[in-house]
Amino acid sequence: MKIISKYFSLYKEFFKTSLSKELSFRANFILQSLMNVSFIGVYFFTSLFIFDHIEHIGLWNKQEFLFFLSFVFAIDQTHYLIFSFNFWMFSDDVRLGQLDFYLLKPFPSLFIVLLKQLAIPGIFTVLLTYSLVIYFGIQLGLSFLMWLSLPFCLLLSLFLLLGLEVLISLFNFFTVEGGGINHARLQFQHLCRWPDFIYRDPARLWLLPFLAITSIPVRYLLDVGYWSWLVIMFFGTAFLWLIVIFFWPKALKFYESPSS
Amino acid sequence: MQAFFWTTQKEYFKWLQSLKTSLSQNLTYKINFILMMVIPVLVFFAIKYNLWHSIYATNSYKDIQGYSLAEMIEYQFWILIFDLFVRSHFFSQNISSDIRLGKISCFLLYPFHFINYQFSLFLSDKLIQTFIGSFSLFLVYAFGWINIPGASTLLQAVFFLLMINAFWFFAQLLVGFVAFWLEETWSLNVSIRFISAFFSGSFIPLDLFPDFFTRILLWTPFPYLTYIPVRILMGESVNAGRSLLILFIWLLALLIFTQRVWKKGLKLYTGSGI
Repeated sequence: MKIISKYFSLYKEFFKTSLSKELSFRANFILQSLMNVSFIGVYFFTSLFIFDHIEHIGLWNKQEFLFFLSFVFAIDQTHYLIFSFNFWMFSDDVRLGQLDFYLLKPFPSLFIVLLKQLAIPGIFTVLLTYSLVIYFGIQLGLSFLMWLSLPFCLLLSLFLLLGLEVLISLFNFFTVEGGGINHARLQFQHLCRWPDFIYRDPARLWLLPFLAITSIPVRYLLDVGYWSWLVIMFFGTAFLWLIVIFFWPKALKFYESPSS
Repeated sequence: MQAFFWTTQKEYFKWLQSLKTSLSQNLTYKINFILMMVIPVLVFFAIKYNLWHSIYATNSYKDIQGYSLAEMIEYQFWILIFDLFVRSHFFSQNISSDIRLGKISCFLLYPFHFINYQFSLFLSDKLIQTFIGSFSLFLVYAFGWINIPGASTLLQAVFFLLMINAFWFFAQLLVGFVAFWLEETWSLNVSIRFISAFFSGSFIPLDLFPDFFTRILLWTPFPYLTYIPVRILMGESVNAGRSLLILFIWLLALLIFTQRVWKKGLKLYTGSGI
């Protein structure tokens, strides 16, 4: 309990620092919120315009597809709020030697690297996207069990996405300029914004870890018959995090601490 | 005559040197460069190609708003090629950080105007993009996903490309100059790129938009940035002269506005770091 409160109080400090930093530049705060809303809006309108001319995309009709999109953006915006800035800063931290300071702190370095900065403007879009998930969930008449499973599905998706992104980001230790790795990371995020069934083999098989992030939980929420896939995803995510925990200290050995 | 020759030669060396420096900067980190160029193309291919195949297969439609599957795939591939020719990486972000960190103070003293310097950087970026775009065009053609149109259509496309690149140069310059007033401009840049991609038909053809919406869009510069030139390349009969004229008017307006913003911004500039 004492350990949890120690971590919680550190995270509270991270939140406060991020909040005061974001509120110092109010115009930027508004612009970031607008950017997120336009980003979500473009995807929704694209899908709506496509559905004006067709009835189904793969297995899903318009309502089911919009529920999928809201789930995708609920994950996306939660990731944006909590982790995105940290991934962008990570390549600079490695290149400029900023990582030294995190390695010296009495907390696991991965905890600080991943959570030190929040993108506060993301709060509004997180609320917006979660409302959309609830709205489309009601429209589809999700059962009580599915409403209960929803938070678990969201968390599982987030952990899988995070684990894959940490693995990709480990390549920052082996390159000088990490912009390309961050760019690649964002491109992989694009893949899971569409359901797995649009991809044909062998692309579907190769991209499965990324496609699973959003497709498996939504397939389960729409059809309980997919529960076994969710169980596989759960164990897959746990295994992925074991790999991350195993490789993080190994990758740190390649860190050259340029500031020292 | 001799004085003119020396001035021209001096100007030429300034441009050449800036271009060379920028080219070597862009190509220094090779893995970084490859990741930024190759992965977006592969992801684009994976999503668009599979998505439209899936849509046509599930609904068993022969065409959607006049587009057969082959035409839709061709449209998407032309979008990809066109985007490769007009894409520029973080150009306005560099301008805004130059302003924010006070780096433009040097340019106010150098005998090479800041905007000229930025244009030489832009040209080096375009040089790389033209190479990548041409190579991709060759690959896409070799796989039979697109048909190469006749010489006159290609010439029209080149005119469009020149105008669109000029448009994006001034648009990005303008976004960069907003840094005279704001601390950060990256979110503005991302929003503009994203919204313009949507309105210009980069995601889906404008024929799939509601009718009234498309009619309004035709008065904005967006359709002329992607949709119209791509339709021309696909062999559609589009009034290219009228489209180029509308784009030119928008370009002119943007140029005048950007110059005004630069002048106003400079008056506010405090030259931090001097």
